Amino acid sequence: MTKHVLSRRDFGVYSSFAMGSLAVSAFAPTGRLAAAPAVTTPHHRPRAKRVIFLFMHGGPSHVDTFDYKPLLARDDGKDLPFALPANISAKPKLMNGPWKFKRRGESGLWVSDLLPGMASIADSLCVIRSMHTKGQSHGQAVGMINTGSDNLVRPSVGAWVSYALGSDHPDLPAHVAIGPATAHGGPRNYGSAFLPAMHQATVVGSNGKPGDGKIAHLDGPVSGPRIERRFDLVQKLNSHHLEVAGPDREIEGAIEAVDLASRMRLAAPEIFDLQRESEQTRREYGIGESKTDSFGRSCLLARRLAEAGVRFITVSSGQVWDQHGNLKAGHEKNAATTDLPVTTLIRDLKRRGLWDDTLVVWGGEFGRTPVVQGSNGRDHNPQGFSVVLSGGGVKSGFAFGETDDYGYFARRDRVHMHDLHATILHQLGIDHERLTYRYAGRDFRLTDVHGNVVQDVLA
Amino acid sequence: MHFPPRRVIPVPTNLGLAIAGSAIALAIFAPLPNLAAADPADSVAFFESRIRPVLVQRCYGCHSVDADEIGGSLLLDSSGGMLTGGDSGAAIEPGDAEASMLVSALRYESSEMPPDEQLPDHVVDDFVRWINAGATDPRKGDAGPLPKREAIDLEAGRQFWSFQPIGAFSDFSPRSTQDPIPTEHLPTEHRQGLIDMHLLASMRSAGIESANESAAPATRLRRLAFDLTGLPPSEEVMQTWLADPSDSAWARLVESYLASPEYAQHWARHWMDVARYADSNGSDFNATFHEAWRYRDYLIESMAMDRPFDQMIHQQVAGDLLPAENDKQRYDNIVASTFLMLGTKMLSERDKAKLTLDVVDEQIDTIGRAFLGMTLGCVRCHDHKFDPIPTEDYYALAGIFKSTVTLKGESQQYVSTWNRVPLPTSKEHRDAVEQFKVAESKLKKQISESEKQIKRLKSSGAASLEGIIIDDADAIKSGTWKSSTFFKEFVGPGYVHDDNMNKGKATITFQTRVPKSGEYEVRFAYSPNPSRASNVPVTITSADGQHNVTVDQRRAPIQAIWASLGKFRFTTESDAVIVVSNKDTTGYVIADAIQLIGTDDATTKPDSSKSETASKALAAANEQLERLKSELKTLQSKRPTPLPEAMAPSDAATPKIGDSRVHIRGEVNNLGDVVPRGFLQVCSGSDSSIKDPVGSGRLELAAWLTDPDNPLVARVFVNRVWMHLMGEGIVRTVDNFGQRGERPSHPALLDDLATEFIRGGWHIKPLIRKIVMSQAYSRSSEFVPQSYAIDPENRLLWRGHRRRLPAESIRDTMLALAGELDKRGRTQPMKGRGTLVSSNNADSKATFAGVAETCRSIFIPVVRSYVPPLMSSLDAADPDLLVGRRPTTNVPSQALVLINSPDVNRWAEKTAQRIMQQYHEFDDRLMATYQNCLSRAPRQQDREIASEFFGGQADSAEHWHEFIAAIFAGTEFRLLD
Repeated sequence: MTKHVLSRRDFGVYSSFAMGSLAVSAFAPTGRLAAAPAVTTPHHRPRAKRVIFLFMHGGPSHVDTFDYKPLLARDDGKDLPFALPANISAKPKLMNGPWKFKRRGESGLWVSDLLPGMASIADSLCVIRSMHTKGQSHGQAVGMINTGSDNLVRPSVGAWVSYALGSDHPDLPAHVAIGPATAHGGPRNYGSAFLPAMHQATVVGSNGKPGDGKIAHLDGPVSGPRIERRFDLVQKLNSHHLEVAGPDREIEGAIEAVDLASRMRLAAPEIFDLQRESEQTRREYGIGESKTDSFGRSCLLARRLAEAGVRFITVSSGQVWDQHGNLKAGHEKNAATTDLPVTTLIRDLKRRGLWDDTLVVWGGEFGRTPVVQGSNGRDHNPQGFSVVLSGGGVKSGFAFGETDDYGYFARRDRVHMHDLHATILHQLGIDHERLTYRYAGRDFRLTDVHGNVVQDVLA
Repeated sequence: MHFPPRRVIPVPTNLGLAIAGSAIALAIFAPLPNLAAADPADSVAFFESRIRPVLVQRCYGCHSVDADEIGGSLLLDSSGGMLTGGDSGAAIEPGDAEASMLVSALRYESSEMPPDEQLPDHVVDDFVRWINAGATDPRKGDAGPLPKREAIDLEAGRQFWSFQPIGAFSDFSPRSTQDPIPTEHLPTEHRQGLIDMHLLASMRSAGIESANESAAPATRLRRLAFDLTGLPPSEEVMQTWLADPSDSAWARLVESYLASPEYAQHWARHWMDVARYADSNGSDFNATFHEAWRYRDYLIESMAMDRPFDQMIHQQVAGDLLPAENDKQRYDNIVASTFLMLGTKMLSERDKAKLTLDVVDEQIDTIGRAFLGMTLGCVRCHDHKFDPIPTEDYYALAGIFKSTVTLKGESQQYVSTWNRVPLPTSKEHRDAVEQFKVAESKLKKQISESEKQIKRLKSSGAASLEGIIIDDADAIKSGTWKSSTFFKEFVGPGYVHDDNMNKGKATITFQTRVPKSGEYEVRFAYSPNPSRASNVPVTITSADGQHNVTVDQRRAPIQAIWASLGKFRFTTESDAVIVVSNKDTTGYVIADAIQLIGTDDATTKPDSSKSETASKALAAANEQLERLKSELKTLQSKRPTPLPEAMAPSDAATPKIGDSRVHIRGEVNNLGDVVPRGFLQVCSGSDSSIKDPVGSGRLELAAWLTDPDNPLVARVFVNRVWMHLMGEGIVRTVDNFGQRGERPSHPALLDDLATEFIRGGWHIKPLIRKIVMSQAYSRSSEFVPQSYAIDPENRLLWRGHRRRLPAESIRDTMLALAGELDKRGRTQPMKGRGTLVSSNNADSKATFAGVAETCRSIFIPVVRSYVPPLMSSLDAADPDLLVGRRPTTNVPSQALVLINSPDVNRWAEKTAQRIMQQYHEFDDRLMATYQNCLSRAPRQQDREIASEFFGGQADSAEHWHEFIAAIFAGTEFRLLD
């Protein structure tokens, strides 16, 4: 199922030298090829081949989207009947949100009017309503959701997946981040930390926008036949260097890297070219409409990358969901930019038969308090919030876990961020306790020493 | 801790509860008032009905002898288990629920148990009642057999190679072996150094016939120049060397490189990798490290002057505490201790106790790996699993760093900032700053007074209010009136109130003589508020007699503070008298001012003289204010440069200095025993704790690190230097000398080098000199199948390791070839940046001085989260991590940035232009290209590749540009043979 990105292959015109048995053994003195997947045989039957993580940076309010709390309407303006957690700026006064909740679809899943698109596909969603995580501030919680650590430098989820499975496309990286934030840890949230550098995400755009929608340095200051000649000459020089130097891993690796870069240059433009989609498809993603154009492009690109074999794609909203004030205006604006593209993405994946083995994860680093901050906002809430899954072998039209009566603390069937990570890896056929990397004398895991697969949400 | 998914626990039959799991759950969670009333909390029946089912259903999964993995070593399946407890101590204190760990865990106040779902309040209440009633437990007393972790055996641990005293392996030195080295293996006489004797002996015993010969002179020089200076050899040096590649010429080259400023810059960068150097915090809140560059320059200076490394350790660990003979020494000491501050921190962590522990952890981890080659981070939560380091040792060190101030204050709510220490400067500078401060604050005070005066003039009525104003200050008071300015809107300097007391005993009389007879409206000023009296009696004596009015001070109908009392006739013959009383009032009575406004023709004519005086006074005041402001502006334009300060630690105030408790499992609130401050027991004598620590204990720590008896520090450092010059360390895991690290390939050599290093006074240059003068250093990297078959990884150094140049050298060389390189240093790279390097939101578009600059790479600021792609793709140290040995990666993005980035392309173009201008024949140009870029002449095959590429277009600028660009992106350019 897996083709190795940097697996040894015929160098074609570049491998004019003969590789004797000695050379082959010289190739990998430390054992495994750097780029070979760590998990060659799945630990169990995978239910998903890839993950699209729609990161709602800032923290959307769960009590205004997927976690219906009728008592909020009844007790609007009253004091919270239990103590607030430490270190928050909100008042202990309950605030009902401005959006109505309804049961949706055949499943009757509760979704508010804020997200009409996602409400319309409720039967394809699996809502975990009992999420909790570490970090009262963005920095920690963003680190938790992206790397499993609220304070230390650790590889990102996508880097672990890249390390485990490699890419499913011969010429594309396994891990891509579209529009990642420069703040709250920036590159750390899609970085490889101590894993080999190749597992860091290839970045497209920044801060919630896909930018020019391209991989950096794929094109250069020179182009056309000139750049072809340059690539060609580099490989000639390198091959000659290898001939003179004798077997050498570094030179061989560099030759392969140039080869892959060259093939990526040829393969990527087609995959990254959204014009190859029909006018109707692009319209469905909201491309061309001012509100949805940016996130629509990101989501459509994510689908194209998923289709091509990229393992882990993060699409970031930018840090827009952080409504400490003006909850109504802010959340409505964010919903208007993201809801349609997200909905279309899930529909599109289904239409193309990709949904069954693509795990879509929608969520923020935390939720928002059911109590008011200022006059009309909500503060950060890592104590309880919702994350939405779809496809990839999870249940549909299903809600799991509960927060308390007001949506503050995860109470029943609590799911920690580590548990979500364990579950994501599980769907990819990876046992989170067996995916390890030795660094500084210790075997590290994405889930540290924690994490339980949330069996109840698996289909 | 590990929590397996909830499992159905078989219900022991002796419970007598023949119900299925789900039914138990129902039984637990449904309130059972009758039962509660029936069974007293100290009865067995209460335990059986209320406590045991919950334990079985919700706790035994992880806390019984049958569990796969026992959580926190805690067993809850016997009364003894509960009383003995686990890692965190006893689970229950019978009779005292509030002191019981189990209760705080069930309440989610310490650990959160059960982790998947909190128990309902009434169930937790049952546990509280049960424990308070004595925790009656009919289960068998003793805890089941718990697999106890074995205590660390320090004595056995000391047998590990790296904890043996330095010199322990020298006994196995070839010098002392009975079997002398056959003469044919010996190099020429004057090179029979220590290093070669060791290496040749090991090769000989492995069966390697002979080591490689020396590399070609040009190759050797390129190696030496890059290793010592990070730059290629100049053409002149190359010519001189090739003319006389003798040993004495080599020695002269070594000396001249070691004395060059480029050497200091290059070798400072090596230690910056270990020091996780950066000019910003990165992480959640990318705060600017405005002063980090001072530490960078301290390192460069240290390398240049060959400062002893033990002194550098002292300065970096405790520089702020060291005595100094002069200002320069004091400056260096303080700036060196920036080392402790440079780690990336989660500054916005709101739980500051946790943040402090995280910062201490980062410091211990850094010191552990940088100096000791020990991974101490994991010991925060449990004894080291592989090395003989118990948790107590970690908290012995933690006590030292908890007694040290690293973070101090907040730059905004919830966001911590760090400690700053003033640096020495000249008396003139200090005086100038002091004088400026005094002058500035004096002017600011005058400005504020002037502004107040203007406000007073405007509001006193003289300027802004029409008619006649009688302020409370000018009124006649009887009884008790209190002055106040609590409510901010008032006339004159304030107002008075009756303090809501002594009702009927306070009056205030406003009295004036109108300038013109006629009708006036009388207004009354007070600050309205619901706490005021609603029925304040006011008596007005006019020309027509007395009038009584009642005022509701809870509201003010006119503007903010005024109410009209009506229109009355006054004459110039007698006073207008307005008396406010607090008789029969409820609530505060306020009196601020009375205003009389003329309402008929006779009284409305302005009193020109009075308003003129007023406006004159106001104009004068305004003029004075303007003058003061302009003086301040002038003063501030001559502001002296701020007093220099360092990002450095301090010792905490004496009451806050102390030993640390163990934090069980590393948790902030889970406290164990106090551990006296101290060091690692395994490499200390009998007692590793500090006797009577002075301050935090950092001075003692520095002394312990640099003690010649410390088995690790010198070995670890010598090994780093060896790695930078030879390509691999004698211990290849340079940051890990523990069980999980690799064993040394040549322990005796490492010991000899370390011994000599210590005896020689911890000087780095002699060590480097010794290594680069060895024959081993000069060996060619040629592939020899016979040797390869025996030692494919070249552990025995039968050849030179071919290795990647550091990213800095690759860029600096391109810049040098393009003729752009400026070798001068740069200070204050972050000057002008705010608290944050960039705004912390999604729209930040910050840019920083990057690879396009002309300075050497070491002087480009290291802004975390913004490391330039050229540098990161060439494996420059990740500033988030301690990097003892840089990884060498080959990824497509590296190829793309080398081939396609505008900067590399520009340098290639400029290099091509220079070569074309300097030489005109194709062969000369090709020769110059190879000499300049690769420090060698082109070979026949190189010429063939070139002629094929140029295809006769020897004068095409485009072709030369492409040719150089390809060489820049090629492997030979970035590899050191």
